[in-house]
Amino acid sequence: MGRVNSPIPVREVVASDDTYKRGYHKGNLGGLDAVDTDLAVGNIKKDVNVFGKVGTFENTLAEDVIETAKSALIQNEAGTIKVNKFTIDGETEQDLVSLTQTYADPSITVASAVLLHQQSVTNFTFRLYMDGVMVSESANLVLWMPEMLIGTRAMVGADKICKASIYNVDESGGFCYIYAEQGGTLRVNCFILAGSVKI
Amino acid sequence: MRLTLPLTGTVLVEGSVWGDGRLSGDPQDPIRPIGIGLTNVSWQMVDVDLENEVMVIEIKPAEMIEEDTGEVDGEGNPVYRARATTQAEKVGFLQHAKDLIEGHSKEELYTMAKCPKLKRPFKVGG
Repeated sequence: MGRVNSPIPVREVVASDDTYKRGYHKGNLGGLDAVDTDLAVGNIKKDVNVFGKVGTFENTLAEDVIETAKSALIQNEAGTIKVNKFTIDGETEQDLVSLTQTYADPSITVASAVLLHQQSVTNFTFRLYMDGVMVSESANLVLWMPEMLIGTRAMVGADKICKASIYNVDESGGFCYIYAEQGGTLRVNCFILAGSVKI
Repeated sequence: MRLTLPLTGTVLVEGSVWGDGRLSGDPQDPIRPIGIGLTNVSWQMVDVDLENEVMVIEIKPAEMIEEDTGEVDGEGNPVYRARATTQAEKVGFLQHAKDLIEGHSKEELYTMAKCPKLKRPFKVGG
């Protein structure tokens, strides 16, 4: 029986397919980067060698914004104990502190809000918003216990507001006291901060 | 523990909280999960799914709670004290939240919370 001769196929490497089949290859005088122009050093991670192309690409994360804002401190009528007293209707919210900033496109922002030295009558929660979206809420506030909230989201453009508030969970009106003095010294009792990273 | 809650509020700019980062709510009526009374848990947003109009949140049980001591102060007001929650209480808080959300349909949750559905006046395609 004679030998069966199968023709050796002529193959071609193409940019859309990474298979490298057996056969005769047409070749390309321009090299592999002529076959696929994306095979460029700028698209390859720095110092990684792909078919002789040593990459130069590096992530360029950069700080975008860091800003803090603190709530105002007020003195009560008695003049001795500094306290912010909020009388809040049932199922109603009271803004405490906010900050407005411009964020790069694209970027990721982390905001944090802290509430200290509070005493509430009826149940209150502490809330954090980022550009009109509620991103975090505490459980019911506990007497004198500090609360911290963290929110993360992409947020781009100008005049973006991060804010913290307290919310009266109950149907009836109630009071929330946020004390501003400790040991005779005025202290910040609520603050918010936001930091973003430009991608 | 993650839960998915229906959204309420008003969308001013359609978008996402990741990706383009353009989702923006009305400051007077912010985008938020319905107020269903997740009393003894705190939560943090994981993502907003505008197509289904829900928010995915990560919940954690409260570490401290106030309890009535049974005493009253000089003005007749009840005296409360703060204490750490027990492990059993923490598990109970999470289970309560899970049962509350997953035990009802989206429509039922809106009714229970007495919240309107998410308003999207600028949604393309109606």
